[in-house]
Amino acid sequence: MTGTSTRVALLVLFLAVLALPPFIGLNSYYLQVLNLAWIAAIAALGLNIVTGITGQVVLGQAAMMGLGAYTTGLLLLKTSLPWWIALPCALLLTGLVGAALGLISVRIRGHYLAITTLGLNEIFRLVVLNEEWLTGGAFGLRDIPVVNLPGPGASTASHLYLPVLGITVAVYALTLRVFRTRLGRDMRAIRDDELAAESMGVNSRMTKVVSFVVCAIWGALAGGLYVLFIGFVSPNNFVVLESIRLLLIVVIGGLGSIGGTFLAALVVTVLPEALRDLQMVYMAVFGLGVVIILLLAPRGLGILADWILAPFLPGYRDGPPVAVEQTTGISLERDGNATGPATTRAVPAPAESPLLKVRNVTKHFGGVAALNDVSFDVREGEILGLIGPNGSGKSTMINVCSGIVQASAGQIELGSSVVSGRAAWDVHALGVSRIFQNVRLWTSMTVLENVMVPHPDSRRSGTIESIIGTRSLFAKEERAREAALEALNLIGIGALADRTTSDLSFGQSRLVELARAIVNKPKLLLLDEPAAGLRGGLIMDLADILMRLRDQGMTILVVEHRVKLIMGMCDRVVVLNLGEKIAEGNPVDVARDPVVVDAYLGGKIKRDTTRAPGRVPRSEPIRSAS
Amino acid sequence: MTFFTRATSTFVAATVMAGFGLAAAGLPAQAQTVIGASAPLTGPRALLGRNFKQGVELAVEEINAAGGVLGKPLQVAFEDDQGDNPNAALNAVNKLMQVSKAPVILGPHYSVAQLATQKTYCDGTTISVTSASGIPVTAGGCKYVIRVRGNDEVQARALVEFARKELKTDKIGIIAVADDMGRGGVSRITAILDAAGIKPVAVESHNAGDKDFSAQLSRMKNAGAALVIMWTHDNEAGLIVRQAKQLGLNMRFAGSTSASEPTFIKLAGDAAEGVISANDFVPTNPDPRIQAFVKKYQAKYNMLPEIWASAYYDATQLAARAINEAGSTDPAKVRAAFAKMQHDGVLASYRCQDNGDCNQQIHIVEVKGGQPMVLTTVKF
Repeated sequence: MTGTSTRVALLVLFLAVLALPPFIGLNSYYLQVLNLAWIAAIAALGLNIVTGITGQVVLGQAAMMGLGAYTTGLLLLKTSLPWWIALPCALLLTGLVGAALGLISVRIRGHYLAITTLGLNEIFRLVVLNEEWLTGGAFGLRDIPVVNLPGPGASTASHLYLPVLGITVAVYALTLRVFRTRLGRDMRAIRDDELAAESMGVNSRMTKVVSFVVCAIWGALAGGLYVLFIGFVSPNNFVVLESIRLLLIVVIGGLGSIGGTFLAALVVTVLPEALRDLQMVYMAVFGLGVVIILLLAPRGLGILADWILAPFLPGYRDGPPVAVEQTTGISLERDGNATGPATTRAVPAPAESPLLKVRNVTKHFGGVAALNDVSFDVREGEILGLIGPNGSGKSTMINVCSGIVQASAGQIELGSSVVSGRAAWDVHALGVSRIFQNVRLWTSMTVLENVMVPHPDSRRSGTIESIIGTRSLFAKEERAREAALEALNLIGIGALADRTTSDLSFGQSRLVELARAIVNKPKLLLLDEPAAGLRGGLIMDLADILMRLRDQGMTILVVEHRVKLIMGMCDRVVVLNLGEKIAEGNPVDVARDPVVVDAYLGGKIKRDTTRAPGRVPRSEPIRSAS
Repeated sequence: MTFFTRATSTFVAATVMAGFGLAAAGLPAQAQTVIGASAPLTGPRALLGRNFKQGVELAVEEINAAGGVLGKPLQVAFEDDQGDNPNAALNAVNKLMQVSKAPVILGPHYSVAQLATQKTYCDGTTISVTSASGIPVTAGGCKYVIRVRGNDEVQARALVEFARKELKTDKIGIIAVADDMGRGGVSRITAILDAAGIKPVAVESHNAGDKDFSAQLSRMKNAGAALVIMWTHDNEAGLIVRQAKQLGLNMRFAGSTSASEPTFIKLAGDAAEGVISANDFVPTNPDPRIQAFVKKYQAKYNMLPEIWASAYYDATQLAARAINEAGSTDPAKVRAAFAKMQHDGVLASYRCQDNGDCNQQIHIVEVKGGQPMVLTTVKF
């Protein structure tokens, strides 16, 4: 039979086995260990969302657990709210703290973020330790009423086993759904390449905040369940070591693997208990076990879990791949159902109105002026070539236009909107799309997912609907998928849709990037050396594609070195040298211009303009750019 | 890939099986009377755990030489609680209760671990014999906890009252470490002084691991303190008295248990002379019962016993006697036997109250000639 039914059957069997313990008379010690494993699984899943899936290393998840636990406990003790009100209140409060942490993470990155969250964990512990009047100090909150639910068996651990397991499975199912739809794609895109994500329309700030909120809420849920089940909470439950244990679970589970986190939580909680009889050395043996797991499976237990869960993960297709015409390179249906205004156009219409207006743009990196007072127009429906020797500021120009780098002075307008000063994702939303000089795909995702990210239907689905999973979310998902396939077919690589991008050749990756750039039908396409690294045949195919896109109404600004390509496809050319515009006009004229020729050969002849360069050293924060 | 998948799944399956398999194999053999011990065997508190274990094992040796418990040899099943880790303690106690079926558990030793596990064992499944000194340990209404030491309050009260009477001064200053131990100490001392209508002339704090105390000491001097009570760890207490001597201050010092520990005496040198503290156990105590214990312990382990070895030696003896006197391992009967028992141990002559507190005495110790000497024993 097909793989899907085998896997689903295995999954159902696995869950059924997990549901057995309260019915087969296991004593409450085993049930309690398993309950603690499920609680750890929930907290670690939150951490996996932010660290494994969004790529923001957090070392303070125990504090989120603690906040949820203490809030739940205090509400139960000090007000006589029932637990089913106290727990949601705790989730809400912790979610707000998570949002604040998310905003911090926008500013603080990488190792700094890890250390900051470590510090927050310690601050939480100290506050709880010192504010004895509220938290009970070092001895913790005692006498918290434990939830009583009817259930099989005699002990609390047994009564609460199925509810805790049920909540855990529900949390995992929800997270899996988020993972494979819009929000999850955005998170993974940020992890794989944040810069590319931002310029493809992903609001990285919002996405990070949301992932921290979800992380905090899952942590608080774990802490709250702990309190409701154990009835005791102390600062020692939420020390930094506990955060590290949760991170260990995420790592053993394979960073980013949802099913792996579940298995790892089981192993990390149950294994030390199983080894207890080794007495003094059992923790050492446990450590050895962890090392062995990571040696045998560097991607952790995720390999196993992801195989079973594959039908619920992105990029899964049951049975043989759908028959798509296999193409060797780019195959274009010359007269397809293009919706553009004209199919052929010999000469660009001279009176075209400008689409992009670059006005006096200057960009300093420290004391170096990468761009100095550059002005030009990109007219609607043309291919404008931006050329110049190495270091002339071409890539900086593309970066400034796409919002990745902010100009030090000057203004850029797209139609009637001002582009300069906006975040990259807002620029993308205005209809500016780009590709990078060195291909920047999100390598952990499938080709199809890469192309789905910038699609307007992906961009338009709200955070709440992405988490709840409304019908309109799935409708939008479907539209984005169809449009992405269409874009891939347009470029001629529909057959690659389900491949993981890391498996592609450089040429294929370049074409995927191009499909990703045009899927939202942008008004302006910015191309930074699209032919770099492509072999000869592909280069001319690429020129064909670009001209075809232009004929469909897209405006293109292309940075390129190859004279042949420029001459072949550009309507006009702008030449930069050392950050200044030295020529503009049709390709043939520009190629003969002595100033241009000299710039390429190394000299610098000034036209008899009297403009002084006026380079003012100015320091300002520089974001990494390609 | 496939190999890894298979290897991983085999490994996971093996570990899960081993979990339940090993635990099942750990069932007690019926030829012995088994009690449990929840001690910090691993982690940063493992040294305390070692002393705990040595005290227990010495007691077991003696008990079995004298005929065992209920006519069978006594066996102690140890589980690691990692000291003050509530989850590890919960699992250790649960396992001892459910798998080893222990009617009595020695420990958990840390107050926070005690409090975390009381919801689990206080239903009468088992009795915990502990030396955790946190006040809430016997104040929460748990009927199945037995404590072999006085609580923190007792220690502070004995020290303050003795010092005031002996030194005839009400000009008392306090230097405490800024952690839960120090802060707890300050609040208890000020409450005790408050009850006597006295306010401390100065209260200063320092961070754990500080090396320079001249600022705190000069403020003590300026406030006119005649007696400074230190509620801090042994290293810091040693430095405080040494620096006071170097500064030529002539105030007296008193301290918590740490001010009679070997580290303090070694570090303070001459300056330790005359420092008063409250302690449950000093190996120099001339009491013949204590000297006999010190000799046995030294013979077996080639080191001097300290307070935790002594406390859990006593706890083991108490538990064995209670089970023997109950004639059964039924926890309710054993608990009733504890209530009726009077036992002369190393730390004290035990007599259990209803709340489970069995030790109503503490020694006042003064450092004389580089040795901690028991001045008197306060009974309450």
